[in-house]
Amino acid sequence: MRQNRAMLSGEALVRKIGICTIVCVLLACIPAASQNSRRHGESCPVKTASGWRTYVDRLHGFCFSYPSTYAPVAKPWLEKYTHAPDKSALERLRKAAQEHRLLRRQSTQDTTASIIVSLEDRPFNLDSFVAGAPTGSKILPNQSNLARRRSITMVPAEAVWNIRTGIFLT
Amino acid sequence: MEYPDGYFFDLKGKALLITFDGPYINDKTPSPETKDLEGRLLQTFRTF
Repeated sequence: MRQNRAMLSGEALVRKIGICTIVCVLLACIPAASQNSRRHGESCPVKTASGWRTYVDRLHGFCFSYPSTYAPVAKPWLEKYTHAPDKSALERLRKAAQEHRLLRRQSTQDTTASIIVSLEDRPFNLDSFVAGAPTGSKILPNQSNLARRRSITMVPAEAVWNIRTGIFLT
Repeated sequence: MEYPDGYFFDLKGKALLITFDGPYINDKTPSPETKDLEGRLLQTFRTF
Protein backbone atom coordinates (compact mmCIF):
# COMPACT_ATOMS: atom_id res chain seq x y z
CA MET A 1 0.00 0.00 0.00
CA ARG A 2 2.77 2.37 1.05
CA GLN A 3 4.78 1.28 -2.03
CA ASN A 4 1.78 1.98 -4.28
CA ARG A 5 1.36 5.44 -2.73
CA ALA A 6 5.07 6.16 -3.29
CA MET A 7 4.77 5.07 -6.95
CA LEU A 8 1.70 7.23 -7.41
CA SER A 9 3.40 10.29 -5.91
CA GLY A 10 6.41 9.60 -8.16
CA GLU A 11 4.16 9.50 -11.23
CA ALA A 12 2.44 12.70 -10.09
CA LEU A 13 5.81 14.37 -9.67
CA VAL A 14 6.91 13.36 -13.18
CA ARG A 15 3.59 14.61 -14.56
CA LYS A 16 4.00 17.94 -12.72
CA ILE A 17 7.53 18.35 -14.05
CA GLY A 18 6.27 17.61 -17.54
CA ILE A 19 3.49 20.18 -17.28
CA CYS A 20 5.89 22.77 -15.85
CA THR A 21 8.31 22.14 -18.72
CA ILE A 22 5.56 22.62 -21.31
CA VAL A 23 4.36 25.83 -19.62
CA CYS A 24 7.91 27.19 -19.44
CA VAL A 25 8.55 26.44 -23.13
CA LEU A 26 5.29 28.14 -24.11
CA LEU A 27 6.08 31.20 -21.98
CA ALA A 28 9.51 31.41 -23.55
CA CYS A 29 8.00 31.24 -27.05
CA ILE A 30 5.44 34.03 -26.62
CA PRO A 31 7.91 36.96 -26.43
CA ALA A 32 9.95 35.52 -29.32
CA ALA A 33 6.84 35.22 -31.47
CA SER A 34 5.66 38.74 -30.72
CA GLN A 35 9.15 40.13 -31.34
CA ASN A 36 9.26 38.31 -34.67
CA SER A 37 5.87 39.73 -35.61
CA ARG A 38 6.98 43.24 -34.66
CA ARG A 39 10.16 42.88 -36.69
CA HIS A 40 8.21 41.77 -39.76
CA GLY A 41 5.69 44.55 -39.47
CA GLU A 42 7.95 47.40 -38.44
CA SER A 43 8.25 48.86 -41.95
CA CYS A 44 4.55 48.31 -42.74
CA PRO A 45 2.47 50.34 -42.95
CA VAL A 46 4.71 53.04 -44.27
CA LYS A 47 3.79 56.69 -43.92
CA THR A 48 1.50 57.57 -46.79
CA ALA A 49 -0.95 60.20 -47.88
CA SER A 50 -4.21 60.19 -45.97
CA GLY A 51 -6.86 58.02 -47.48
CA TRP A 52 -4.38 55.34 -48.45
CA ARG A 53 -4.54 51.70 -47.37
CA THR A 54 -1.69 49.28 -46.87
CA TYR A 55 -1.57 45.78 -48.26
CA VAL A 56 0.70 43.48 -46.26
CA ASP A 57 1.63 40.04 -47.59
CA ARG A 58 3.24 38.27 -44.64
CA LEU A 59 3.44 35.02 -46.58
CA HIS A 60 5.76 36.39 -49.26
CA GLY A 61 7.17 39.27 -47.23
CA PHE A 62 6.20 42.49 -48.98
CA CYS A 63 3.82 45.38 -48.54
CA PHE A 64 2.76 48.57 -50.28
CA SER A 65 0.19 51.28 -49.89
CA TYR A 66 -2.43 52.35 -52.39
CA PRO A 67 -5.26 54.88 -52.59
CA SER A 68 -8.46 53.80 -50.86
CA THR A 69 -10.30 54.63 -54.08
CA TYR A 70 -8.95 51.30 -55.34
CA ALA A 71 -11.03 48.42 -53.98
CA PRO A 72 -10.08 44.72 -53.83
CA VAL A 73 -11.50 42.47 -56.53
CA ALA A 74 -12.67 39.19 -54.99
CA LYS A 75 -12.04 36.97 -58.01
CA PRO A 76 -9.18 38.53 -59.98
CA TRP A 77 -8.76 35.44 -62.16
CA LEU A 78 -12.11 35.90 -63.94
CA GLU A 79 -11.96 36.24 -67.69
CA LYS A 80 -13.49 39.72 -67.67
CA TYR A 81 -10.35 40.93 -65.88
CA THR A 82 -7.65 38.70 -67.28
CA HIS A 83 -8.84 37.92 -70.83
CA ALA A 84 -7.23 34.52 -70.29
CA PRO A 85 -7.04 32.60 -73.58
CA ASP A 86 -8.31 29.26 -72.26
CA LYS A 87 -9.53 27.36 -69.23
CA SER A 88 -6.07 26.16 -68.23
CA ALA A 89 -4.86 29.76 -68.10
CA LEU A 90 -7.88 30.70 -65.97
CA GLU A 91 -7.12 27.79 -63.67
CA ARG A 92 -3.50 28.91 -63.27
CA LEU A 93 -4.69 32.41 -62.42
CA ARG A 94 -7.25 31.09 -59.95
CA LYS A 95 -4.52 29.00 -58.28
CA ALA A 96 -2.25 32.05 -58.13
CA ALA A 97 -5.01 34.10 -56.47
CA GLN A 98 -5.73 31.37 -53.96
CA GLU A 99 -2.01 31.23 -53.13
CA HIS A 100 -2.01 35.01 -52.64
CA ARG A 101 0.19 35.44 -55.71
CA LEU A 102 -2.37 37.46 -57.67
CA LEU A 103 -4.36 40.43 -56.46
CA ARG A 104 -6.23 43.18 -58.17
CA ARG A 105 -7.36 46.57 -56.92
CA GLN A 106 -9.87 48.33 -59.14
CA SER A 107 -10.65 52.01 -59.10
CA THR A 108 -14.10 52.76 -57.77
CA GLN A 109 -14.06 56.05 -59.66
CA ASP A 110 -13.09 54.59 -63.02
CA THR A 111 -13.51 50.82 -63.45
CA THR A 112 -11.11 50.83 -66.39
CA ALA A 113 -8.25 51.57 -63.97
CA SER A 114 -6.65 48.77 -61.97
CA ILE A 115 -3.53 47.89 -60.06
CA ILE A 116 -2.53 44.26 -60.43
CA VAL A 117 0.16 42.54 -58.39
CA SER A 118 1.32 39.10 -59.44
CA LEU A 119 4.09 36.93 -58.11
CA GLU A 120 5.42 34.52 -60.70
CA ASP A 121 5.91 30.92 -59.69
CA ARG A 122 9.28 30.79 -61.44
CA PRO A 123 12.73 32.27 -60.81
CA PHE A 124 13.34 35.95 -61.57
CA ASN A 125 15.08 36.17 -64.93
CA LEU A 126 15.35 39.38 -66.97
CA ASP A 127 15.84 37.47 -70.21
CA SER A 128 12.42 35.85 -69.80
CA PHE A 129 10.79 39.29 -70.06
CA VAL A 130 11.94 39.81 -73.65
CA ALA A 131 9.10 37.79 -75.13
CA GLY A 132 6.48 39.81 -73.29
CA ALA A 133 8.05 43.22 -73.78
CA PRO A 134 5.16 45.20 -75.32
CA THR A 135 7.41 47.83 -76.82
CA GLY A 136 9.34 45.25 -78.75
CA SER A 137 12.52 46.26 -76.94
CA LYS A 138 14.81 43.26 -77.01
CA ILE A 139 17.76 44.76 -75.16
CA LEU A 140 17.77 44.01 -71.48
CA PRO A 141 20.43 45.13 -69.06
CA ASN A 142 21.81 41.85 -67.82
CA GLN A 143 25.27 40.39 -67.42
CA SER A 144 25.58 39.11 -70.98
CA ASN A 145 24.46 42.42 -72.47
CA LEU A 146 26.90 44.20 -70.20
CA ALA A 147 29.70 42.14 -71.67
CA ARG A 148 28.70 43.20 -75.17
CA ARG A 149 27.55 46.77 -74.50
CA ARG A 150 29.43 48.79 -71.97
CA SER A 151 26.80 51.52 -71.92
CA ILE A 152 24.19 49.27 -70.31
CA THR A 153 24.01 49.42 -66.56
CA MET A 154 23.60 46.52 -64.18
CA VAL A 155 20.32 45.93 -62.45
CA PRO A 156 20.48 46.56 -58.71
CA ALA A 157 18.92 43.70 -56.76
CA GLU A 158 16.40 46.07 -55.19
CA ALA A 159 15.46 47.80 -58.42
CA VAL A 160 12.00 47.83 -59.84
CA TRP A 161 12.08 47.86 -63.61
CA ASN A 162 9.41 49.40 -65.80
CA ILE A 163 9.14 47.13 -68.81
CA ARG A 164 7.58 49.86 -70.97
CA THR A 165 9.89 52.78 -70.29
CA GLY A 166 12.94 50.79 -69.29
CA ILE A 167 13.34 53.04 -66.23
CA PHE A 168 14.60 51.60 -62.97
CA LEU A 169 13.21 52.78 -59.68
CA THR A 170 15.28 52.03 -56.60
CA MET B 1 -3.76 48.06 -78.38
CA GLU B 2 -3.15 49.34 -74.86
CA TYR B 3 0.09 49.16 -72.93
CA PRO B 4 -0.20 49.03 -69.15
CA ASP B 5 2.81 50.11 -67.12
CA GLY B 6 4.51 47.15 -65.49
CA TYR B 7 7.23 47.11 -62.86
CA PHE B 8 9.21 43.98 -62.07
CA PHE B 9 10.88 43.26 -58.78
CA ASP B 10 13.17 40.41 -57.78
CA LEU B 11 11.41 39.18 -54.66
CA LYS B 12 13.58 36.52 -53.09
CA GLY B 13 14.39 35.05 -56.47
CA LYS B 14 10.83 35.20 -57.82
CA ALA B 15 9.46 37.81 -60.21
CA LEU B 16 6.94 40.17 -58.68
CA LEU B 17 5.08 42.28 -61.24
CA ILE B 18 3.13 45.39 -60.32
CA THR B 19 0.95 46.51 -63.21
CA PHE B 20 -0.89 49.79 -63.58
CA ASP B 21 -3.66 49.22 -66.09
CA GLY B 22 -5.50 52.28 -67.36
CA PRO B 23 -7.37 54.44 -67.66
CA TYR B 24 -6.40 55.07 -71.28
CA ILE B 25 -7.52 58.53 -72.30
CA ASN B 26 -6.62 59.36 -75.88
CA ASP B 27 -3.45 57.37 -75.38
CA LYS B 28 -2.15 53.82 -75.46
CA THR B 29 -0.54 54.16 -72.05
CA PRO B 30 -2.13 54.96 -68.67
CA SER B 31 -3.24 58.49 -67.90
CA PRO B 32 -0.90 61.09 -66.33
CA GLU B 33 -2.77 60.62 -63.03
CA THR B 34 -1.94 56.92 -63.07
CA LYS B 35 1.68 57.65 -63.95
CA ASP B 36 1.84 60.00 -60.98
CA LEU B 37 0.30 57.30 -58.78
CA GLU B 38 2.87 54.75 -59.94
CA GLY B 39 5.82 56.54 -58.41
CA ARG B 40 3.97 57.33 -55.19
CA LEU B 41 2.79 53.76 -54.74
CA LEU B 42 6.16 52.21 -55.57
CA GLN B 43 7.84 54.45 -53.02
CA THR B 44 5.78 52.70 -50.35
CA PHE B 45 6.83 49.22 -51.51
CA ARG B 46 8.77 47.35 -48.82
CA THR B 47 10.03 43.81 -48.34
CA PHE B 48 10.68 42.05 -45.06
